Amino acid sequence: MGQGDLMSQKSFALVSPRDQCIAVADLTSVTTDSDQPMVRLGDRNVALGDYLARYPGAEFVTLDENHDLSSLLIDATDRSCTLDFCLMLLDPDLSSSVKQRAALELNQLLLSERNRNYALDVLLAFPLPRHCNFESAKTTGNTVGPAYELICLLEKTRQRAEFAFAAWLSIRKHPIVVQIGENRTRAVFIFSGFCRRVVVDLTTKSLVRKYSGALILDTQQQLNARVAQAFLKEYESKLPEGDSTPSSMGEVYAAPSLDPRYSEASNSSPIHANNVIGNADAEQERAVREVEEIAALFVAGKDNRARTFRNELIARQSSHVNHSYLVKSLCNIASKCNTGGRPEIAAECLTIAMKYERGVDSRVFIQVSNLFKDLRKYEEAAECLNKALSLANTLQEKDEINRNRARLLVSSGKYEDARAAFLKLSDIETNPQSRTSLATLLRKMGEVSLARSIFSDVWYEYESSNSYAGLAECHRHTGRLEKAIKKYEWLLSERGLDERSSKVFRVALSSLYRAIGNLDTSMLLLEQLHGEYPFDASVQLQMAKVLRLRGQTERADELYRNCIANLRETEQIASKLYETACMTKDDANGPVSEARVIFPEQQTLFDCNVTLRNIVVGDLSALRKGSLSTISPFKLHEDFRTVLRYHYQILLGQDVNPKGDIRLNRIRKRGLEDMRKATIALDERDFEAALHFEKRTCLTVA
Amino acid sequence: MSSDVLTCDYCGYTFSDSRTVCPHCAQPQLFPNVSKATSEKEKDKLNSAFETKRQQCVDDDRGDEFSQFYNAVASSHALFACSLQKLHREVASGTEVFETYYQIAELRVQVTAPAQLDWDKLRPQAEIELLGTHQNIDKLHYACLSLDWGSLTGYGDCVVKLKENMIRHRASCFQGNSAVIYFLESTFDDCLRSCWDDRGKIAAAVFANRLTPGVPDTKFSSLLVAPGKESVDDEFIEVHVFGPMTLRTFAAVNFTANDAGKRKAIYRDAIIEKLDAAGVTHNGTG
Repeated sequence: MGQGDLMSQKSFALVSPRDQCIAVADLTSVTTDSDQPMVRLGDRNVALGDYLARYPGAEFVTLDENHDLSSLLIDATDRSCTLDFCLMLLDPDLSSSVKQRAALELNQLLLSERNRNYALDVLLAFPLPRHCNFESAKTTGNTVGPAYELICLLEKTRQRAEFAFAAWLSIRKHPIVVQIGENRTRAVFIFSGFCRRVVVDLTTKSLVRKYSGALILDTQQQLNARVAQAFLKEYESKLPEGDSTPSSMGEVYAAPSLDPRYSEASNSSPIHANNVIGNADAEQERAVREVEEIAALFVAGKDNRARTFRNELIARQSSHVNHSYLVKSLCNIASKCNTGGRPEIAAECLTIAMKYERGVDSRVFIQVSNLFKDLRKYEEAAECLNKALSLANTLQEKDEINRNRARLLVSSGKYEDARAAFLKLSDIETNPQSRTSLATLLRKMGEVSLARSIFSDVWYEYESSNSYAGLAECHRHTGRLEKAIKKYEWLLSERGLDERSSKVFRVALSSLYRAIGNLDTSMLLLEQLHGEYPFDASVQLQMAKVLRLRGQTERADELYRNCIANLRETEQIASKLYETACMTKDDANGPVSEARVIFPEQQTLFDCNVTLRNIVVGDLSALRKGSLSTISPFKLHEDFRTVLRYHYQILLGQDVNPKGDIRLNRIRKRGLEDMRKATIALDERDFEAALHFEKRTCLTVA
Repeated sequence: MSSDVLTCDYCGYTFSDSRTVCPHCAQPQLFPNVSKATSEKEKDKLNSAFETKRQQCVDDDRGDEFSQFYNAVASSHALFACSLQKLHREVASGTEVFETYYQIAELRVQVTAPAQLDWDKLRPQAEIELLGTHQNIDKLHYACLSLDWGSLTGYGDCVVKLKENMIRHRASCFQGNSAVIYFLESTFDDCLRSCWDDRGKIAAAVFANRLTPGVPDTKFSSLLVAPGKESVDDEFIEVHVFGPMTLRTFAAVNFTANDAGKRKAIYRDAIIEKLDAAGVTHNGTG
């Protein structure tokens, strides 16, 4: 589908981003063979899918007014020059005059993050020779420019680059590497940025243990997870012990979210790019410290002092030719303020960040957008994505932006629009992230079998943990709670998960244990989580639910209040509001109306709640006013939905499909005990009991 | 593709001529392209073609021109043309810093603009046919015979003359662009090849028909290298140099274009510094 859509583009080019050579094709060069787009290279026809699979670094670029062929060639040549000039700086045989000119050019080239990452990808993948002249490179270059920073980074990471190379030599005969091909695996290791991130970020054994899961998750689309794990194990064995966690590192993989789907978006963290480039150099480290201090002051309520420091930071970093650093610093402050309970300060920082655009690329705008989304400022988030789109050069970048746009629509509760947006992605058939996101959306929309089918495909093709968690969620949705539990337990025991995914899956598991009535196990899990994340909303909410079921209402209510007062939308919070909604008449100022505004994603659930309440209180006039959509809420168990619709129609005196009875009988006979009880209770008009049982099996599931 | 047998001078055992060393005693360093070109079969084919052409020229009263051309080419040199960037990597490879780059270059995704022929596919196929095995793919450097600085124009602005003493033992000559011929014929059975010392013979046998009566020796250069409209139309004697090259392999470098760009100037000056340090003559200003 995605590739087919490309056929309608005017013209395009296949670019090998790591080289200056480009394969150009216009519309006449694309042929279709059995409905598969083919690209003509020389006298060969190569299937586009095969080509992109074989050369993961290749980019598929549409040519238009903004992206013509000559500019693409210039981009590719720039990358090549960046690498050559870096090597010239290190060459002990060249004169200082040549090096100075090379450094000046390099400073310009390194303003592009892509050029810089490319040079680092290559230079950190192989140990540099012993006689490389770093001192000469630093003194002849511009001492405050990006070239200087790059040389410092290379010098600082030199030993780890050797470790990484040794680790590669140790695993190159790994059966999977042999099967995939040594050269190809090596190329993916390097050009996916994996080597660079390992060498720059993972400086101690503890860091490798802590972040290897996240790193693998980030690159698993290109890199085989088992090979990556084997590599990291070898690399770790060569590192010293210690816990010198880069201050920014925790942020990268720790943005709060309950939905496993979003853990895949961790590489969009605003800190990430900073991490990659900046940690090595002293100025950058200082900036990171400053960011932490400023955020800590804001969180502590010392706003005036924090603002003074922030203004100093802005004044210093805005003088840089590239504003990326400043924007990322402000994003980091915003992120910390948001998690520290100061969302208004976070929004303020992001608004300031939006004023600085010089040298900021599309990826940074995506990151800003994600932060705005976390703050539930959807319009600003959409605006950031528009800016990102205007800067995107390649189809991959555009896809990433459109993927984020679709996720934004999901957060805004516009499921149908989100689905349409996902289906428009050109990589929707090949990108596991896109497919998993789409499947998650479909599950939310009640199309569980279709979602399950996509999750299964992604799981068997890519072995992505999120797709497996998606399968578990499908089981939960259809009431097979034990199966869902097994899946989560397997994920937690067998897979190397990053910290964030681990937390999300454990919270999900605890809610499943609660749903099957195993409150002790659920509480045990939650207590562990609460020890690790004392301020985490999702953990607090689950604890509140279990405590309430145990009769400890006082403590439960306290936790509920904490959650609702401090935190972003979650389905669990919505279910709490559901309980409220069932007992409250909806009016303009009521909690349900308020909830509609705060949690647009839960719109249909609230509509359902109102319908349920109307059924409960027998308010037929209110029931008649409800739209048909209120009886097909996406989030309810389909059995419950059927019964609900049946009673809605009966109450309103509408014609009832006679086949409905057959289905109701079938529902009565099967399913979980609670579900059966809920259905029977609903049949008997014992709505309170129905809600009680239904809540146990469905709404905790939703 | 054929595989002949060589006998090791050191241990006396036989082995395939596609080997670069004797598999029994690892002596000495061998060059499969030269081994192929100096096999009896190839020598006979070359001598036969040479004699036939010589006789034809004698019969057509072009015997003197034939002899003069033969003698001129027998003292010709090997040239190759390339871009500044490529030359920079060639000359910098001796510094070891760029050895890393070479390792990386092997991993690079090489995608070239669609041309008349798919060189990426044809070149290795032709090399397998030339060398009798896939084991030595990518170990050949390609150049052409020339009597002056006349070279093929489609490959770049830097023309490099190779030192004879650095390539004589490992160079062989072929009667045209081997990839194009492979594309057209799928075999080299009817093609001529020679060792370096017999380059005059192969050139005379291949280009004898171009020798007109009374052609002055100043025209020999353009007879030996005739660039075509496209690179596939070039006519020349292809030189295959087996093994690596550094700037120590170069005798001289000729920059054929004045590059105005800042980056090109940096490349060029870096190359010039390297050439000066190695004592390689050039026409650039350092």
